[in-house]
Amino acid sequence: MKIMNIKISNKYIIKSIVILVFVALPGCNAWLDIEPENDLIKQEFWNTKEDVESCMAAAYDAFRGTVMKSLIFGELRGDMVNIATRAEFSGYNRIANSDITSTNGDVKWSEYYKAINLANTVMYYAPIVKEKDNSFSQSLINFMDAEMLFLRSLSYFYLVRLWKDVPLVLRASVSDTVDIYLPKSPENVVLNQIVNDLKKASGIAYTTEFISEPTFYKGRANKYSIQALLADVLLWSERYDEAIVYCDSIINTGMFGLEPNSSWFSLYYPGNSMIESIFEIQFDDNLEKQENPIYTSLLGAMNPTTKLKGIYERTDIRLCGSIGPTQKYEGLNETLPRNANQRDANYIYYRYADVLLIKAEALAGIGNLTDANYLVRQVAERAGQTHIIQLTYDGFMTSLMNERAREFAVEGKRWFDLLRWAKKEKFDRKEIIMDVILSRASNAQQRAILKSKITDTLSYYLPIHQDEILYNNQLKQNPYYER
Amino acid sequence: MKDKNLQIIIIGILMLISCSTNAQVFLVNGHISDEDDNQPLIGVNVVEVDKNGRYLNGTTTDYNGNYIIKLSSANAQVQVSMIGYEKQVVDINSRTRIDLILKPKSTLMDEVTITGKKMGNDGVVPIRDRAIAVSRIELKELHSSMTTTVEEMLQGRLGNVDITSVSGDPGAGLNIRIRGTATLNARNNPLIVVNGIPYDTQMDDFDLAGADIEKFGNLIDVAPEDIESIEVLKDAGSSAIWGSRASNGVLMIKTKRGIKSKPIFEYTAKITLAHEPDAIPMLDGGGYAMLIAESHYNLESRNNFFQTDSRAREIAFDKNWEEYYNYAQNTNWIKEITRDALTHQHNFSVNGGGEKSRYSISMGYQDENGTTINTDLKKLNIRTAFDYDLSSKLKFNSDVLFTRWDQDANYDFEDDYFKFDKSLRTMAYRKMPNLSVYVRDTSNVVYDEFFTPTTTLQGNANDIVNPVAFATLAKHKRIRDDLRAGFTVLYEIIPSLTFQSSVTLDMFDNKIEKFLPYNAVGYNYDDDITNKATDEYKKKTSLFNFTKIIYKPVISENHDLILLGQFDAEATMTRGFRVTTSRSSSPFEQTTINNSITGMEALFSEYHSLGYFLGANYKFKDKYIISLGSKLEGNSKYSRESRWNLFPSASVAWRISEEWPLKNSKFIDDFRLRGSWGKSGNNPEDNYLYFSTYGAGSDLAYLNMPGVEPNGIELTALRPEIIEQINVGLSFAAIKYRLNIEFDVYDKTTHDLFMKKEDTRIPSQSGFENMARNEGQLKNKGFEFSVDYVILDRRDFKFSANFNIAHNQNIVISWPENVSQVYGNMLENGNYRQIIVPGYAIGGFFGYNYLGAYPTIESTYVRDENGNYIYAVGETTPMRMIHGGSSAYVYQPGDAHYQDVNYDGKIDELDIIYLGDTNPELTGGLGPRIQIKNFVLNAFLYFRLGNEIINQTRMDTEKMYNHDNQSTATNSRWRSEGDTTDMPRALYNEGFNWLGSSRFVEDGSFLRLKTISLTYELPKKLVERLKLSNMKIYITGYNLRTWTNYSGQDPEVGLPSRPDQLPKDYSRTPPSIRYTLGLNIAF
Repeated sequence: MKIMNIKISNKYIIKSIVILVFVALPGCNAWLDIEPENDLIKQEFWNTKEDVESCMAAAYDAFRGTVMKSLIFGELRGDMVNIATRAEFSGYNRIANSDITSTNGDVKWSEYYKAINLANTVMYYAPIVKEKDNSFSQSLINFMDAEMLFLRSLSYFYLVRLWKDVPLVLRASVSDTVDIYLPKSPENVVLNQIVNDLKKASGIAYTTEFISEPTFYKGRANKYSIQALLADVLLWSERYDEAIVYCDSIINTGMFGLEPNSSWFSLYYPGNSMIESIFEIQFDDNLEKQENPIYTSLLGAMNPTTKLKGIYERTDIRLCGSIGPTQKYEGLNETLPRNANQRDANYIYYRYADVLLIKAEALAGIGNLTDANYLVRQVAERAGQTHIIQLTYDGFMTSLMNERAREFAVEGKRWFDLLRWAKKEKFDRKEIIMDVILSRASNAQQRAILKSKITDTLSYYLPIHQDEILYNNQLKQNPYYER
Repeated sequence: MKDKNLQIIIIGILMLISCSTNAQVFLVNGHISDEDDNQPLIGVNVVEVDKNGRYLNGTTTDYNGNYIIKLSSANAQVQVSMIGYEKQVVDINSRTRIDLILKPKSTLMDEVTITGKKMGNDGVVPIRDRAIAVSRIELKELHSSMTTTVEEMLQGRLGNVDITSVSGDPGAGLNIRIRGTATLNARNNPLIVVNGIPYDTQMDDFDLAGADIEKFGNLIDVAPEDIESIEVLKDAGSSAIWGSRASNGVLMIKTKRGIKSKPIFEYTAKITLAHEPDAIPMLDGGGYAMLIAESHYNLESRNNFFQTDSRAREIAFDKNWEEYYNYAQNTNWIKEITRDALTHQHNFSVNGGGEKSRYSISMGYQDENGTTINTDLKKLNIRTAFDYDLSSKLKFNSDVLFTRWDQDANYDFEDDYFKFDKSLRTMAYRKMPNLSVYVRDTSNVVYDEFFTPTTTLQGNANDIVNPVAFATLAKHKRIRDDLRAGFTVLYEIIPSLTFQSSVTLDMFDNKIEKFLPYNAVGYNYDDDITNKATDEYKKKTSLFNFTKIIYKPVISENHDLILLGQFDAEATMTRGFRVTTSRSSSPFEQTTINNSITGMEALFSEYHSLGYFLGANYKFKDKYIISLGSKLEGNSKYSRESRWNLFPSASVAWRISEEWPLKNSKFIDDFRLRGSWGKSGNNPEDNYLYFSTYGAGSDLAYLNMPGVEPNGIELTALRPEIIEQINVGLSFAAIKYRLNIEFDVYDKTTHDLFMKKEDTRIPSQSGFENMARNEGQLKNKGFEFSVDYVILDRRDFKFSANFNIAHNQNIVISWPENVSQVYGNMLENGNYRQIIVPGYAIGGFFGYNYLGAYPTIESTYVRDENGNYIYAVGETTPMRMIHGGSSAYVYQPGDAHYQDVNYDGKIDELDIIYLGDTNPELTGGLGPRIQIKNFVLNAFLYFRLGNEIINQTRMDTEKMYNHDNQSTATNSRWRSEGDTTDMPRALYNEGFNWLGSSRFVEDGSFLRLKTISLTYELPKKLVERLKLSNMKIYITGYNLRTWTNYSGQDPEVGLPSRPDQLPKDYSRTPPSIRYTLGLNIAF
């Protein structure tokens, strides 16, 4: 008699055990691969060119997150704008008064590195996705790489101008196998990287593909924006001949010019000037959180200094009349305000006027003051300002810097202009910047203290936030702030 | 004769199965009688067996001792057996009638063999041959039925098994720490194993981050009556087989199973009366009014509260005010929300079995009332265990456990409106005592309606509710079902080789319904909390498979070897959703249906794990024992690169008692030295942590291109925390095992502590702010000592006692710099600072040293180290002590005086000192057991010594800072210049009188008479007359006496769920004083 008709033999059971242990083993790893159902994960994400594109959008968005900081630091320690003493700007105010410590939350650089990481991420995944998506062409990858190299370079350009030596992160932080504890790289290494990246990008970038769509054409990096940035970086690096080459490359296209005086306000509203604009980060107040953050409080807190108001002739449209240069972000013209809901003015990084003035500065750098004066006059006269021809280098530079101050008032360029001028030839002209810093000191006593300290040119750069040093023992503080 | 019937039914079912396949028929009949008295034996099993001992076919004898059996062949073998008789195997040899006489068996012999080879709860290695650190409790010794919960049974019994219940409310969980806190962010509670299967009662929650510890305690859902023994595996050698589940130790519970016997019915009934210990005495209405007035009067600004603030009339006792009677009471709110509570429990079980099958069935019901009004718990337990031997080689076991909880709790505080520090009890302490519980009209007529004014002196009704209304009207119902069903097959391939495989399903189903009617908090229809309903479902399903091969080859007399191979697999899935709605049209419409949804969440989470274990246990000459084990474990919580981890372990033991000169000792039975080393892992609670997830959103878009970005870095290196433990111990047994001593010393290091993403910052050059990872080291070291001694063992007088004591020290060895480790702003009132610093214990906290109240203006002058006054330049009066930070508050007479540690005239962070930590220095317990004739007296004392507690309730009731009611201790407050007192002045919303200081830190040491119980076993004669086999009645008192210097309601404060949280006593429902009357009958 058998029970349940199953003959259970020893062999059978031993066999089952063998099967269980050895046959099941290879399947084990797969059985342990469980992916979250409610989340989009890396493994499922990078499949089509649209995925790469959406990460690229996030990179632009992250870069847009640096606008406020770039604008403030571009003016903060300069002499053209004062930021009102409000609690929310207290950190910045301390920096403006040369009371700078590594604990100040506003010296964090995280916004720039977020944009850099996303740019790196796009460039890392694009070739991987190409393997999966046949419609993803090499030329499209090239276009995207060019845009991402531009965003990364521009971020690094801000970083070196503000902190001098910074970690040069070129790999995307996709996994913990990537070293996230890099030390600082010297300024010139970072600048060389930027120049090489931009040269590469300029060769593979979009040219006029989006010309019919101004927001895309001006809001995404193309060959001309890349070359404008390249010229600016080369100027900073005192490589004047090369800077002139890239300025000429833009000028010679014949596609750009200066907006006439009558339509000057259209540079800012609605923006994306087809003639003059080269690269603008776009804001869009139809979407929540995409308003330009300067409208919330910064704009009202930025007050043009008397010095700034004093360098304009009455006829200069850029003075914006009695309201002052901040009106460019708020007015339809010198007197009429824009709609209060209209809070999406773009942030202009480069426009044709800048290219002309970069070229002028580079020409002056190689001794060609004649052509340089001509370019400055072009810019000045468009706005209704007279430019007096300068025959000495220093005279010309003073005149050029004033023209730049007028042209780019409240556009976040002044401090970098001053620093570039001062640092030329190994800080041969550091009095320029020292005078500005001292003019910001609150009293005679502080001025006396500062005077001895700011001869150290490292004081013109920001400290690394103490958290970054705490979290990464590879980082060394700017020596100025360790004293 | 019920037993026989049952056996007949079971055998009958079997026969139906077996007969259906029968083709040949060979009939045999006969008669079976008892050897002693020649009487026919009824219900004897007559079974045909094959050569392997497998049962083929069977029957039983009838009332006359006759049987008839159909056999498969004329040459079959028949096995004849009955409980209490010796088994016979008979060859048929073509005979058709076989009469047999059975010989009664001596049961004594059996018992002897059982003791000698008693197995541990793992069922593999005999207890005597263990090389590992295990604490064991036999429930028989404890008279388990006298306790109401397992926790109560275990508390203080086992060395370094620190059990604290999170509150005295019915159904509140437990925090169990075995050998200290070994992790910060992963699980801290031990693994509970019931009958060999892991039992996980914790559930992923919707909001883990904000979750209150009360939701996260362990619950052991097994009735004490059903438990046979509990073992606690502490060292790495013992827990090796459980791999990473066992990093915090293992609590192995073995439930009762059926034994070969006639059915034994057992019924236990218990009635328990619970009474809360005395609460902190609070001010009455008048005292409160005086205090509030004074707290305003003492203000620098003298805001003249009584003239300018309309709310002042609430404490003005103005008879002309129409609300006078509503505000002129002396309500003791704590008393209003507490009660003496009654619990009754019933447990019924039946155990028994025959040769081939055994069964154990039990059912328990409990109806427990909490000492807080409107809390109760109804609990139903059903447990069945069936063992069926298909043959002597093939056996099946099945276990089913079901528990239903039906709990009414107080509304809990989960969102912004109701935070933890606004728990019902906290609010009852805070609530103004002159307020009436019920609405009263102008002639003091009391209405049947709670008095819940929208706003009072104390703020909005939302912020401080009428506690009685809140407890009575707000609903919080939890229904929980826990079903565990397991099926095990055991196959003896050859006598030395056993195969065993179990499959277990664990289903845990939780439903929460909550409703907060407007009248529980005061009407405020605009608010989302009005008539707020919450519906929450959670379900967790776990499937386990454990497959073992045990090989015990017979080598020679001197060599014993056990080899064990195990494969295990687990798949666990959690699902749930929660809906919250608000503003239903009526407080009677208490469901989420048809109301506007204010919150909706869903949860889904799953993980798998696999384990392979190889182990060997070798014994030479009964002297030297060595155990080696290695577990390879894979877990879906980690990436392919890091998911496989190997956890090795080794332990050795040397039985000194087998060595000359101890070998011949009559006194010593066993004396073993043990040593073990091993590693285990601990997994973070969350699944999917290693994935780099991507987030999309319209705010990420650029130029109408949708934006998607990674939220974090992929963590390929994330791995379990590694816990490495060394244990050295000795086991000693003497005087015929009447004296048992165990001593263990251990050192347990946690490597690669798991740091949560939100706590761990990384350099932002990575593009991210933080990242979870493994870093840091933590150590626990200590000892355990326990002694059990049966001092006297006479027929009518037995006296035994046990004692255990344990010490654990916790030290942080290393800590990553990038993990935030400082908590608490010390310039503000109410905060203590916690810093995790290498060299200190986790859970340590810092604060100011409190020196009493400044009696006079002179006492507020700043002094230097030598006690001389310090003067500012050009001043003639000394400088006054000021408070640090931007406030620069100048300390006034009557203010709290903190020690100016650095003599800088300023109270700030530089003056804080170490105040202690929450870890007890010593824990343990002791208990005598005395049996005189039919009376048994059992007592147990439990102690915890040397832990510091922050008495938050005292802070809340002595700060005199706002309009909260305060304790009567504040009557000794400083009132005028010159008063010398420890109690500062009342000061409304100003000053720094309740900074985190030594003032509110108290020693939580206590010795508690946990249980004392007297049992009377009725005389056998009387019991037999009642047709019972046994009857006991008993009375037990719990927590009757606590010796402590702690000033709070109860010093047994639950451990914080995270070790970096402060051990604050928020006055949760304390463990109550209880009296239980019980009855136990068996028949």
